[in-house]
Amino acid sequence: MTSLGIDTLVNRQRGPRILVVEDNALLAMHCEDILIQLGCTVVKVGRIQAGLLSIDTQPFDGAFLDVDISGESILPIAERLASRAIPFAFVTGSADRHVPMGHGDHPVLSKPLSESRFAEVVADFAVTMLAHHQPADSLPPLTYGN
Amino acid sequence: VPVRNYGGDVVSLAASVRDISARRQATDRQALIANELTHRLKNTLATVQSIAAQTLRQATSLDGFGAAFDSRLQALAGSHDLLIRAAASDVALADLIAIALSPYGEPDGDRWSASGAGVTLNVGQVLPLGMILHELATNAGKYGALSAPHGRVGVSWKVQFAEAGSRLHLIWAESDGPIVQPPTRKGFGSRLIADCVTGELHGDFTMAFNALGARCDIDIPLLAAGNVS
Repeated sequence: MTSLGIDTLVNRQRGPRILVVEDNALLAMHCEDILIQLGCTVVKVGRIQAGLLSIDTQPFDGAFLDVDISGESILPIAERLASRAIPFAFVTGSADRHVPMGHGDHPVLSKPLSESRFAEVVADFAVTMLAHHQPADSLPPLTYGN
Repeated sequence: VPVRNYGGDVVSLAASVRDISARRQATDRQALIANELTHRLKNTLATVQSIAAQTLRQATSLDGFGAAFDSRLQALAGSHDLLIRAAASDVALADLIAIALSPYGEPDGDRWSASGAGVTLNVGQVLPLGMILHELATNAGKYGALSAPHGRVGVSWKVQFAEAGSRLHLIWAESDGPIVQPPTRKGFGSRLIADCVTGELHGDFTMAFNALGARCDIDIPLLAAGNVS
């Protein structure tokens, strides 16, 4: 959103690392393409357990979460990310834009996907990460089980 | 609700509690259905958007884009038809294969055969597997066995029963086509197959471009709602 965020993205040697949790492979591919065009490195997972494992073992600068993963709630992922202060946004096709309880202050993107909304949210991720942390690529790698 | 006679006197009170609650239930149900419909519609729109974006990225001409996009959209529509026609979780694997290969004639004709036990698919498996089969058929028609007059595709599958859950092992094997050249770049088709198998169907696959014919092995769990007859 701000010029600080965009400059940061452009100037960084490797773009932000973004987690995409989406159980529809075609939609995940599209998310990945949009994010790669924005300069991001993308990790896609289609299951809650795989998402939790990724968060525990890899650094991330932000995440896009489909609200409903094969009938399972995204809540455990949202909580794990929140506990690590990693910014995230929800992606939903739901009319009421319902997001898990307690996470209503996170951005909500609706389907079909808007590339410009992705760009805004990724820029906001960068601002949040700069305000609170080192970017993910300067963190020492987390060891499995941490 | 007071019921009055023509003179306006209250002659009885109609008990309308049940009436209202039934109506409210119907309204709630309608709202639920409307919400679910919107959800599915937006997901479908997003799927079409994804197919369009990726077909566009790969296209070398506007005509090429039109033909490829049209064919992928038809494949998606065909899978949706099966989903709607069949009762929930009652789509036969053989029907999905027949749709993907329908441009090449009837099953067990000159061009393709399908063999395996009766397997019905879980609702969530129909669209990704339908797209995978369509991409395999498209590749076979463009570059593989179905691009040559005597080439054939054999699709066979078996179900492996295990304590951890049954698994479907499907083999797509091409023969009697042109000498196979491995693709020089990873296109939409191979990326779609990889992502659908691993990301959505939670299985494994191998794609081999043997000189005598391409072969794809797909191994996916059959979910509880899918079953074998």
